[in-house]
Amino acid sequence: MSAEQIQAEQANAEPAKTERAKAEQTKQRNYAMFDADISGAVLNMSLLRRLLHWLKPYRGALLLSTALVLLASTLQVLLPIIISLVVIDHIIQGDTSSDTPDFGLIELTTWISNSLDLPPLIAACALYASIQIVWAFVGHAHRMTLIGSVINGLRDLRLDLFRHLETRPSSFYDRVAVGRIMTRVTNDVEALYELLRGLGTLIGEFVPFFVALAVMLAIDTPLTLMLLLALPLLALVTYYFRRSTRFFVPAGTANAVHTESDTARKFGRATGRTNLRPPSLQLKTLHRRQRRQPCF
Amino acid sequence: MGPQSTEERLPTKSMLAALWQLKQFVLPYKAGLFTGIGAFGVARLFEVMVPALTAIAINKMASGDFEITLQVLGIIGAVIARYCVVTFARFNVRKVALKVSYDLRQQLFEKLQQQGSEFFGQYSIGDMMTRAVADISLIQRLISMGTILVIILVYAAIVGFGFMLYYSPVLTLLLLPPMPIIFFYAQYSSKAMGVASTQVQERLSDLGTHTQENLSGIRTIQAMVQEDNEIDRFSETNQAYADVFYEQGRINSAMASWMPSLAAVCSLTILSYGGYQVLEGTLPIGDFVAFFMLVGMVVQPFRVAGFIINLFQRAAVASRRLFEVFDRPPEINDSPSGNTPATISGNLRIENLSYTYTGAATPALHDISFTLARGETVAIMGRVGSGKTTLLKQIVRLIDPKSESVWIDDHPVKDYPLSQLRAQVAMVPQDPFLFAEPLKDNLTYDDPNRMLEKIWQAATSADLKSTIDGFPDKLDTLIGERGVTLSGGQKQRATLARGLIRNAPILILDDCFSAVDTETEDHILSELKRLRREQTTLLVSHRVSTARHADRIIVIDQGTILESGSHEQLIAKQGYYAELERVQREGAEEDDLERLRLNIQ
Repeated sequence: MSAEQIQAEQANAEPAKTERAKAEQTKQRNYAMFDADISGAVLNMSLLRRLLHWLKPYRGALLLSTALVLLASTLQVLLPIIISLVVIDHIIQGDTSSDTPDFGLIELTTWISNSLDLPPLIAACALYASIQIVWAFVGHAHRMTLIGSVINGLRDLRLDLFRHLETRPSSFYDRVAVGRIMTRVTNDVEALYELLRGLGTLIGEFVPFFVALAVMLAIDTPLTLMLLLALPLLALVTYYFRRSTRFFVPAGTANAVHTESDTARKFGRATGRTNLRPPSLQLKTLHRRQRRQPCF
Repeated sequence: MGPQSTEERLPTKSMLAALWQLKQFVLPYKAGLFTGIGAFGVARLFEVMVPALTAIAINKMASGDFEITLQVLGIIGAVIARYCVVTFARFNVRKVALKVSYDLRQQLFEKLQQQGSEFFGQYSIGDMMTRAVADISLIQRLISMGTILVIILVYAAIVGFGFMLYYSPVLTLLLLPPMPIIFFYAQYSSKAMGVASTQVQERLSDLGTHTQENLSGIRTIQAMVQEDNEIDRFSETNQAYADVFYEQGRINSAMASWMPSLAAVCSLTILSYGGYQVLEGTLPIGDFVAFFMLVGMVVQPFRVAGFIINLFQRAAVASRRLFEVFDRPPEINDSPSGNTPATISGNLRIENLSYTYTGAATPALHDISFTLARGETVAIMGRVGSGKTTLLKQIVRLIDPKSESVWIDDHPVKDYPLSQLRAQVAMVPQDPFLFAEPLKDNLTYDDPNRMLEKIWQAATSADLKSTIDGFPDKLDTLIGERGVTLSGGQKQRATLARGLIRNAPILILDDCFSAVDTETEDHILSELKRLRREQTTLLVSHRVSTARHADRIIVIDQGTILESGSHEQLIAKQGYYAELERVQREGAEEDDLERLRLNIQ
């Protein structure tokens, strides 16, 4: 190529062309097809439903786990009731006219006290200890059934993902970096573990809510209804926080992992035995994105 | 993955010792960290105000005084203030965690740059990627979440116990007997968690390694129809990871069950003895309620002990794995003497060079000596495994010569700064490695600011121009990972152009014409001769058609120099080279080459 030709080519290399080239590159290395499933915008209930497909074979264990977590939560709710209603109100203050629902715990304490000939306070303590021990066993059983199901489900998901990758045409690998896929197979699946395990435990959180609501309604219905008026405000605040962080619970992590793939890719290059530029840019991007996770 | 398991390989440091190593990375951000810690402390004080104000309110109501507006406003104020301070504290601590993880990744990357073939023979790419991504994430998680938990633990102990002592010293002392049992169980679980965490990280590395190796070689796997076998193999690795992950979950779950139950002994003590005191009239009911709330605060860390131990143990394992790389001395020591010339002129001398790989029975190179004057072109020939690449790698110190056997401009190569040596002695390796970036970025890899004119010149010399012109996006064409969208010849010519563009005083070409046809090769070699009249070129080839362009040819066999001289001299000598020339000219089969080798032996 002559010097004139080169100069002419340089002159023609206008910004517009550079932009077009960049756009074309983005098109060629379009990760959207690969990333859509994990970006905050798409991680929604429909994606969750798709995830449940891998949990379907373990639905028996999951149902058992759900029953156990409801039982464990119920037992956990009973513990403060023993302290407040049974010990403080009934035994210490001698309040026998309270409308607050005690779920039969006062009667049970009285029965234990009479049957074993124990002072009411000691009977209440024995009841507290018994419930605590049963809670420990039930809680452990709930977690193990849940963890087992989720781990097996994600193991299947990972295997299916790998199987899927094995059958992709080579053109797929022209556009997607191996480091990126590797992170997907390892870290992202682990992030899903946190999500699914969290959801499994979340079911148990409803029990204290409804028990507390029942107690509050029994104590003072108008006041409880007034408090319930604050729920729309709480929903609004939650919506605001969710929008401001743009992600559902684990998606902040997922987005970070998204960029971590780039870091991983850079490391792949490093071990490709070539002198490399440091991955500062990728690391900075990763850390910028992670900073967007909520602090409240 | 190394030859040993992580448990065997990693230093047996305790959890705290392993985490203490991170001190050097955390200290630069101590201001942010201590601000966060201080803010958490203030938040805990606001938290303690709630039971204290509740106690006052209850005691007032119990005595018939229902004027508790101040206490109610105080509780609301304390809750709001706590929220604001906690948000501020978390912001600071998370910022520190991000910065530390950034520095750790940077450090790991830099350390990997200093390692050589021995290290990468021992550790896999997947393992390093797991350390760079997953392990550092665990440490980041520890700093951002663990700090909060430690503060809760410390403040619960100090503030909680302080207030409890204020309300009832006897009841507070009664809480102490169950503590040794709790700590013993916590320590036992912590050890079990440490082992489980190590195994989890190890299996995760295996998973990463397996995936990385498999997908990097996916074209070979698909070409050999080995997908099903690979899926079966992956299934085993996947199952192994699931098993250890389950075990870790089991330990965690057991702690989540039994730590709160052990802590409940404290609640039961207060409930029974405190309740008795209230019944006896020796303890006000308000103080009893406040005391109970404080007990809840003090035992809260025990309720989440499983989570805390999991967090710390996994981060400790991650720290051990990172420092295993950080503490490893560089394979190639860069300690320049300071008396070498700033610019290499191009005189190369190899003197009695011998090299034996670690664990090898026979030397790869034995007593090699030759010189190259500036402007000279020398070709090295020899069979596969004869030691050619080992020789070239020692010139640029990809492998360190055992003694002072390689000299450039009368200075041992070890005396040159490594960056200068590798910048001025350009090596085009056998494996044409390209990055998944535009072709232009690949050609200007060492200096992205190169003029377009230089790029085209190098591309023309490497006979790559017509190829680039054929691409719709010319130099902006994006090539796949490792250049998979290019043919073998195109990749070789691209890496050659990347070497030529550097215009280095010494150019080393390691068999980089093997995928190029003879016509193209002739063109490139003519260009090389024209461009590098004043510079030194050392090239390795299996082809006589390549070597004959050189001023001198050195034939190496089994690590020793078999013969050397110009093309004409070696032909006249009727040795290995002459026979090779005849065989290649007549298009002989591999059997002939083998026979030739045996004859020479």
